[in-house]
Amino acid sequence: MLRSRGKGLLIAVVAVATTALWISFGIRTALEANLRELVARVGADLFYVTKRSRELFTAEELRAVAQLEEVALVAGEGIQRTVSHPGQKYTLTSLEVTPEYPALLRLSLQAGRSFSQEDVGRRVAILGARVKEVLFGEEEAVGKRVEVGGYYYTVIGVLAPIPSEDSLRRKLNNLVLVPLTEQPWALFVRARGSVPRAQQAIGEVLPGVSFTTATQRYEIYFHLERVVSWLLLAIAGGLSLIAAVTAASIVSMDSLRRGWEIGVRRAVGATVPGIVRLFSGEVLWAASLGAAGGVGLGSLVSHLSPLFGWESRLGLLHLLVPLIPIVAGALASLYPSWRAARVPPARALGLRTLEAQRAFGLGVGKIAAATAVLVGTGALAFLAVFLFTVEAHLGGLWGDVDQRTLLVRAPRKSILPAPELTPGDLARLRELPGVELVVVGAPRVLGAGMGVYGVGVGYTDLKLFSLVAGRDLTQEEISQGARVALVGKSFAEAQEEGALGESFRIRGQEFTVVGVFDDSMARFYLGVPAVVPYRSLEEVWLFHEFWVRVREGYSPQEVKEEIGSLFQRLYPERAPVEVISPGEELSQAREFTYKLATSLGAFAGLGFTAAASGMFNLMSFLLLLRLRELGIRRALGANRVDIIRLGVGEAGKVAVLAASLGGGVGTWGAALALERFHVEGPLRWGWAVATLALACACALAAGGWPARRAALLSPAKAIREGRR
Amino acid sequence: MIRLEKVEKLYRKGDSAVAALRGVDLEVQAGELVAIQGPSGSGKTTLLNLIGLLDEPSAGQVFLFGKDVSALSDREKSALRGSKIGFVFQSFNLISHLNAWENVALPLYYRGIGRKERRRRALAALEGVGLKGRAYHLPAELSGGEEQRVAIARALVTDPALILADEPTGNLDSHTGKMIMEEFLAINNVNGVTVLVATHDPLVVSFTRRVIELRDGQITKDSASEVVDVPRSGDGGC
Repeated sequence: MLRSRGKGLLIAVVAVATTALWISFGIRTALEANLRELVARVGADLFYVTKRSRELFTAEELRAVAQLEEVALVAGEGIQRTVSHPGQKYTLTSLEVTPEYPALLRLSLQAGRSFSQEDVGRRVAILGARVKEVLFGEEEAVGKRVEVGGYYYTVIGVLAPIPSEDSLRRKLNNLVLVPLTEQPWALFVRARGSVPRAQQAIGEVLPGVSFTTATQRYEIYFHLERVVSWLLLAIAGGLSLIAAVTAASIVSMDSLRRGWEIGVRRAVGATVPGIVRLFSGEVLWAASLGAAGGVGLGSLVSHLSPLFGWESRLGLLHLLVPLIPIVAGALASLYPSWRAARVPPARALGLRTLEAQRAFGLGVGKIAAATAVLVGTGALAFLAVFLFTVEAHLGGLWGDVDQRTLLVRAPRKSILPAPELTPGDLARLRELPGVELVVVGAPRVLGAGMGVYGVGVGYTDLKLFSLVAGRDLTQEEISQGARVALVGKSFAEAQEEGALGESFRIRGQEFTVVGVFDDSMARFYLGVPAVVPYRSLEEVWLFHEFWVRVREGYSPQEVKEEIGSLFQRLYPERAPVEVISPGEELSQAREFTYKLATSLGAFAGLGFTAAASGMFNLMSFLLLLRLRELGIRRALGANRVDIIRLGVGEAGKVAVLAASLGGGVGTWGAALALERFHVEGPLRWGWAVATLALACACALAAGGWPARRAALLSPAKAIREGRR
Repeated sequence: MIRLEKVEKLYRKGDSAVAALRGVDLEVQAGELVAIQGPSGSGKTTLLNLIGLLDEPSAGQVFLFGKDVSALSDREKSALRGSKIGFVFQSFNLISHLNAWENVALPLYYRGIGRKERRRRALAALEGVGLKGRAYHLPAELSGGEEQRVAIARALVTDPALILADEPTGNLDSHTGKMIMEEFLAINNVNGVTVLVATHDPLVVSFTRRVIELRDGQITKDSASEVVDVPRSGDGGC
């Protein structure tokens, strides 16, 4: 039988690999099923149209598309705003749409009516089922008023509840649909007949538009699930590889330990396939046990996944899940079994250590342990470099803003009506004794993740954004409302001609780019590609926020509280304003990254633990093989430290090489991933080195511990035991 | 040089214990060539292990070079083994992945001597046993006699004061065995090295000047003191 410790390790590794595969396949199955169901509900003849220039569609363009023969129905989508309530874990989203939108998405109503053309420009709303339930409970909602973004809307209808298995449209349960207040930036189109023909016809009347199919459009909503499932799949693949090399390592070492037994079995008639079957059968049995455990654990985690906000479903792919690590392990065990079985019986019965090592291929065991260390270190290095590089970039989320600067804004997590925060509040804030400077800011989403940030007088003192090219806005430009802009580096790099000195349009107005700022992380969290003087745009801004600098000698905490009380007095019925420091803003930005890292890090850690256990296993066995040699060395003058040094050195050769390779591969992978997430700048190599050091230390400890145990034996006993 | 006082050694096997040595008193002077004779299981190897600091007695005291070895730390014992004691084993105990000169040089490595000097001294020791031409061969490429001569060269390379040989001719034919014993005799005569040889081979005994006979863990005869009155097996406790 396989040694119990080796078998335990194999069972554990296979169980972890199976669990990761099970969860990953569960997420992917749910994702694919959701997409299929969704497309079945909304119709595969639905597609989405946006302008490559990110400009809005005009009324004429909308009409032109609606009149095409190839188009059955068209609806526009405008601004989307989200507020949520942390206590109730509830999110409210308002979406501006054209009257055709509910019909186009096949949304039915449980009460009231849908939009008509007469509703355009009126303040009426259709509530999602969950919104109605939260705001009105069992009461009738139609005819009542709701407040969205500072304005009151009359409820004309309530959407029927959308079932939980419809994971995209389920979000409509939390939606308030309101008529467009401006032109749409995206169109939903239902084709009459062929989708490609409809797209071709639209392309002819509206050059410069891009199309997204319903499936592609909805896939965006599942981006996070997709990324997580891919990462889990990659980790599961790595763990399956570790399972395979563990199986190979265990069989390799076990065949060496049982060389004499193999000789006896062969002498009494066992064939080569018989010996192979003996070892592979034992591996299969252990791997099957591990896989069964993994299926159980995976099912449990999948069952609990809704608690963590994930959806998981069973699919046909799950039938393959336990087979993957089992087959990987069994296949990997074939080669060392075959090598062991091919040694002639007479040789197997009388092999010397060195010959035995060659014959049974202890090298396979070393390669296996090295591969496990490589994969484990690679996964850890990837996570460490990725996370700490992101962390470093988060540190640059804001420019030179210090901890005495506070951001005052409407709460992002509340379903209570938000405070108005008008430019008039500027003067009230300036009257507070602890306030030295107040700068008005106005974030505005343009659509598709793009936005513009209007900044008022005083901005240049705050240095909110770090410039990488050109110059900052001047006080004169800001006070005069000049049509100049700073743009994000990513936006500037996307322009063929470069951005500095060029003009581009925001809401129909021409702006000249005077500077480029580093938006590597700000873009991800804030969606701000352009910064312009507040007064440069003529339209009325709906949302404002303020940057407040605390006067020297005043406590930022006290000033925060004063600001909070001020707005509570001004807007007693509304949600309290959020007054946060840059540090708190960073903490909020970090939250998601850390959650993801913790769960993925746990898997990587398990992989690495398996690798370290594999190394311990290998070194224990290797030193057991050399026990007699260790006794001889002790007899010839080696002390215990010499013996420990020997074990550590032996492990070190394998560990340092494998961990270095793993660290390199992991860092390279992290660099690729960071590029994919548009995180630019220097990689945090130091963390790769720290991971490498940790990996080497663990692997060396795994080698050193068995050596220490061997060194504690008396030389006579080591020689005596080693003879057996 | 060697003094044992009421030395006992028990080996535990589960709940029971087997006495390998029972109250052994022994004194060996510097420059002696002593044969320790007795059948298998009589305690010859255990006695050599205790004298060679490879094991520790269950009771009694061992004095070596005038020192009570129980007071020595592991590091001091290792240093003493490496500098003053040479071992020759029945099964040669050469390390299979080191070649002949590397095996011979091993004690020098643990004394911190540089590689160049180690090789020079190892080759000289091999030359002394007539094996310089086989210096780069692995143990598997040597005959039994050659392996034992490499083991003797390894025991001599540190110029030890004491050589402990456990059945040095046990795996050799009589002709080779005789050659090996002539080596020991020369080492003893020329260098004045104390040699203790555990054996049950009469040929070996014929080369020595003092014979100690062991039976059931006790010295039943010592040609130096002519101890004859001994209790029989089963009289002592286990």
